[in-house]
Amino acid sequence: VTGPDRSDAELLRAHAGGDRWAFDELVRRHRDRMWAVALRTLRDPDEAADALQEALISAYRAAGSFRAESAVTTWLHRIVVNACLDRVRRRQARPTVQLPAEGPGEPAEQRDRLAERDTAMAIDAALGELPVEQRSAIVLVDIEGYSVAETAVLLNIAEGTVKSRCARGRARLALLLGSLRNLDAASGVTARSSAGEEV
Amino acid sequence: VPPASDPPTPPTASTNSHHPDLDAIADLDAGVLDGATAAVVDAHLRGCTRCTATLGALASVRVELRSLPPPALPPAVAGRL
Repeated sequence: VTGPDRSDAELLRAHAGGDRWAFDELVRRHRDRMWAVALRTLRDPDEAADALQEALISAYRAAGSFRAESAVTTWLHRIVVNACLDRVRRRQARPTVQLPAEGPGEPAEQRDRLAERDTAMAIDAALGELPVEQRSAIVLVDIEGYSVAETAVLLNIAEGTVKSRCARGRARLALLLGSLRNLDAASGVTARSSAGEEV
Repeated sequence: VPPASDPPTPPTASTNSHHPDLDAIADLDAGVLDGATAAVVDAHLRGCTRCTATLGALASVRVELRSLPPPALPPAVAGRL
């Protein structure tokens, strides 16, 4: 079978069987979404590009180990997510490495201004303030629309942990984006924040 | 199974000062509170406009996240893949 009507699984099998074009086709199909996940997780285009390239090389080589219990897209995205999180961990292990300009650690006094920017930019900047564990869950569930069950597989964590990370991340975003401003005025919300890691 | 945050203080009938905190409302929204805690927070929300509005704000955050435009794949990156 040739052409665009082959399924992802057929393409992956063809690749494992030596079809030199099959993997390219698979990448073309999914690269936009993989890019979105990598960029939003890492928040740095150069790092995201490196992570995505690294992930695709791993996937290219590991295609023979794909098992049909998961969708090919889930398998591919899991490799991408892992490559991104590995990079974050390496970055955290080397604290002297400069973080991206809008990365974690943006000062609190900038928060008020976030709400005044263009919405998408404000959300993007606020996402950058979340711990990566919360951000990666929110990127997959709330932005990319993966189910909680799929996200649990992608991140290799329990479904309850996915939900909990999303909940705490949304709470923090609501604060950063000023969505609770009127309520705050009404009677001080106890916004203990949500940076803490849960298990 | 992740533990919930600190259990919210149960609301009293006479005062509205014991609102569940934001994390507890977000946890309720995400379905991660245990049954007993969820019942307490839920009961409070039924009678509290302010906390209902907080729940609404969390829903708006979800809507805004879902409507973010996808970032364009730069041609230079596409060329590397």
